Amino acid sequence: MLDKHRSAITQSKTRPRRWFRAGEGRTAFFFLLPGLIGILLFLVLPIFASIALSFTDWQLLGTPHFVGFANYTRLFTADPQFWTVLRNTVFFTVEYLILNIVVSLGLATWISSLKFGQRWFRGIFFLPTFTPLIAVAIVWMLIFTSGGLFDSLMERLSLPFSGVLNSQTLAMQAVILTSIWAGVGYNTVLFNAALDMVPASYLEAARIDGATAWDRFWKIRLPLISPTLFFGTVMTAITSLQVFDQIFVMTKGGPGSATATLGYAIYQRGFQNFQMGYASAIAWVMFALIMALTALQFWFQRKWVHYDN
Amino acid sequence: MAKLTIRNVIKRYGALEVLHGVSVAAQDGEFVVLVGPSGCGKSTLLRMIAGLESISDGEIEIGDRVVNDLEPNERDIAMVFQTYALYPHMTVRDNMAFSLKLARRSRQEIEQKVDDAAGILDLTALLDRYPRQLSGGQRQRVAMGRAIVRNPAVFLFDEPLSNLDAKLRVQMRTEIKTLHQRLGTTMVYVTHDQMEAMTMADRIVVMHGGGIEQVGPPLQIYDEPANSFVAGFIGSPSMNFIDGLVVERGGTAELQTEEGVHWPLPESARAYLGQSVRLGIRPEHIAVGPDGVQARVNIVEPTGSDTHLQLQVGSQSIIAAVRDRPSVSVGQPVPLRIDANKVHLFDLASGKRLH
Amino acid sequence: MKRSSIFAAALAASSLLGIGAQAQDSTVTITWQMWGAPNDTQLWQQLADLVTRQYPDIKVELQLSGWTDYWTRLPVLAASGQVADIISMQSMRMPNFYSLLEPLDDYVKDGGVEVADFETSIMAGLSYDGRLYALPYDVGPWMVFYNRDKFAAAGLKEPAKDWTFDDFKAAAKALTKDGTYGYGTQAFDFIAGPIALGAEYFNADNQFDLTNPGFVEAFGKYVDLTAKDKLSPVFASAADASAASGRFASGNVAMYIDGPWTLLTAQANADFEIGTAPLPRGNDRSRFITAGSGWGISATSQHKDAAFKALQVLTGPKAAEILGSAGRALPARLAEQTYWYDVAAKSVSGTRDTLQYMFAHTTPFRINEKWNQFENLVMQYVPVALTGDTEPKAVLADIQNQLP
Repeated sequence: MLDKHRSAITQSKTRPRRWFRAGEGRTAFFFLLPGLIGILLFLVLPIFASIALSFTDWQLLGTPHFVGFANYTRLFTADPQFWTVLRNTVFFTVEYLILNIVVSLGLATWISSLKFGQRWFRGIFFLPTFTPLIAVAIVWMLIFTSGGLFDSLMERLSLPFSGVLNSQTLAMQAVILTSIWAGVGYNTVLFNAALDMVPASYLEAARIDGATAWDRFWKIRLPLISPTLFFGTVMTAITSLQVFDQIFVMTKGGPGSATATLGYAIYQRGFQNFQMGYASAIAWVMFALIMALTALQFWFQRKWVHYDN
Repeated sequence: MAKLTIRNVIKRYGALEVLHGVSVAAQDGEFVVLVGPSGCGKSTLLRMIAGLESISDGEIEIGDRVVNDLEPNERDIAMVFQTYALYPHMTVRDNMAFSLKLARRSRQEIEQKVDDAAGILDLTALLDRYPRQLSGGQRQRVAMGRAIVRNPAVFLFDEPLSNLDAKLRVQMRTEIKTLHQRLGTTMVYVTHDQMEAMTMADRIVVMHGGGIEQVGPPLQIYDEPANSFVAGFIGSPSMNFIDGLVVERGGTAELQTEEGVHWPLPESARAYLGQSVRLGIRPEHIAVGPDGVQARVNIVEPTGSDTHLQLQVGSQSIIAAVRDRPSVSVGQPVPLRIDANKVHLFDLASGKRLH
Repeated sequence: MKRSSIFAAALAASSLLGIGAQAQDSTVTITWQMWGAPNDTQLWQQLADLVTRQYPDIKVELQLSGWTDYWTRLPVLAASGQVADIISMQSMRMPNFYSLLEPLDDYVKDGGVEVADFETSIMAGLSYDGRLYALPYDVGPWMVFYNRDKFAAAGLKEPAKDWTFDDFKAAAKALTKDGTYGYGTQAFDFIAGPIALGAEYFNADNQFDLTNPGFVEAFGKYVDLTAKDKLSPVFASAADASAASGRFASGNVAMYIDGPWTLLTAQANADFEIGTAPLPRGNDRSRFITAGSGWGISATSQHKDAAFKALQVLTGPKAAEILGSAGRALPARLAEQTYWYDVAAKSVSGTRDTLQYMFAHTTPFRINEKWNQFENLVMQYVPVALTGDTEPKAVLADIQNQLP
């Protein structure tokens, strides 16, 4: 009798401690399953497939052959367009990022200073976010076409810009302008929300301390919304490095290679030239670039971003 | 330091008038407390002094300057907020130095003033910490330090102790009072806690519904409330109010309630024979026995130093605060004796004090 | 336990039904991938119905998709094994996709198809490495379409069949005035045009050699029409291949280069008389490249015999008559070409003369598996030369060193 009790006690001692209670873990697993399957099939598996592909020479028709690092070597040493493409991508990202953040922050600040119509303006500026980027790009392409709306406007203002989509220097600016129009609204609403959440008492204390509106913006509001600003910057940088829609519709990488970016190069190599392995290699270079830029921003975060707790 | 004059100040939000022509003056170096229930307009008045709200009508003078149209930082004031409003992204030192940096003072001057203020408030060890690393009391001191470095003419406090726990509140009350004695600056302090008002003020301004009920030193307000509102607001536990008719019985004036209970009145009450009045008597002026009005004990609350008895006379509740610990139990009938000379009489209709 | 066994029984019963039904039905349904706009559906469906009328046990199911998407989807579908039984193929894409198709030489011999019925250049175009991979339904060279009304108004003589480049340039100059252009340039002009002038873009090994002096000169001539003489508006890299036909129809340009396949749309939108002429020649005799499309059988099809039968009907005389009369295609069947000349294109002058002249002077259209890339690079880079920003030779060098 005693032995039975003793063994029961030792048994309960040696049973491993569970993280969840038995039933809960299984239930949680089944709730997660649909999402998990989706992520595995459509995210994780293709990512690994893409890495594998980048080491092959798959031409879409036929079987892939393993070629080791040949794609990457070709990319960095033999491809005459790669460095141009890289430079275009970085140029687009830097200019677009700066313009986007500055414009959206300015709009957000202006909206929060309004006495009436805040919600209306927020809605107006957010509208482009709903529109598919392809549709936006098509309309802007028509505006920028030689002899189109933009050209007649420039003529009326006696400015020397015409046929921008055919100009090697200005085509990228046209793409950036379109992207700004489409992308600024999201960040505006984001930053506006953050600005409105800065407690009024800080600003009142600052007023008493002698801060002008300019001081209050730079020294109080901006530091206090820096977490949101950081988020907006990182997300905008990541998406702008992947720019594709506008290039595909407006310029197809031209004129020349003026607007060829990494995103477009991947499409071109993969689906027009059928060099899937090579395109995968470019995709992973893009990934590395995005990682590097994001890491850089996180490094800056330590100095520039102030978290409340 | 300077005197503060508020003359006939009115505040309107659109058609709604929330302050109806208030006037009060604080002498140079005085500690004035604005006290009243929520919504009485005390915070609004304070913010108008600070310049955070506009003045609809009337004038506010600091020193000899009319400050109606001046920006907050031009008025030579400093404010301590209820939520401290310390800039979370700056260290304690930077928080305190902020206003001086904006005023373009020299680095040595800033350093010195900050160190001085930190010394006064015992913050020297915390200068390089961030507000989120400080306790509530420490944050409050930093808020005060930020105000001190400005060396203002008037200090403004907007319910600064409301966010602190009871024990800390008592401690900080003393600290603020000590600070006042040390600096000697004019201070305007807003609170809803009448205990803070009583213990800290040189003069109390009791506000209610957008107007001032009474202004005066704490004990004067306590002993001679101008109306039943002030009488009921100041003092804890609150004054007991009994309504009734002034009658004469056996040569003495008495208050006769609707239920026929008779309460003793002072000689001076004879002037109001036949009038309906409101009698006010503070709990500490009610004693148990040996004789008096019959009451029933409902609740016994010992606080340690005295005992609060909640009693019932007819349908009326009475609270008595007795010193020596009486051996009474719930449900026990006890006789209540009140000190007739400590009775306050108020007109039933207007609430005004009858002398 | 009971529930699942009932379920299993029901499943078995329903599948038996299916098998039974299949045993009775012997119709073969073959799928047919074709490009086109939604309002082409009726026309292609007509052809599909012809097959069933001739072979009642063969049903053809049409799968229509847009032109640009077709070439992106085809390899993807092939890689995932979902390609149709009958695949539409264009001669210029043959080097990339021949591996998807079944060689037809044996089927042609056994089926008794008369090769001589079809125009020779397109039969060559749809072959690769000596084997035929598709039967053609249409063919056409790149030619000049011009606005007869404008020519008359400018007092110009209509182009001769062997007119030279200088004649062409002079006409364009005379027609460029008052905001309208004499010529509307498009990307393919820079391939078809130089060939007609006698230039070659391939070397002897069938690899691209764009910087040879002959090609640079011919290419440069066409570039200068826009860059130096301003006889044409500049097209943007993102413009699709039909940028000029719209301008032609609206009267903004007087001449443009395209093939007979564009006639239907040009006619519909133009309110003037359209004339046709061969491409201008250089100092040597005329030579023209043609292209066309046809249909092949998927190498992985389960119904190759039925598919070939259908193919014979789809490329047969009756189908060619329908397509020619509708103007949808200049039939590859020589005998049925008259339906295009006399029915669909009857209001366009000179088509019979022009095309017969051009077919008599064809030169093989040389392409390799990098053709697709080359065409895209031309679209991307030629605009830079057209604005005068870069010299033609430099542009060709750029294109050349981006071809792998």
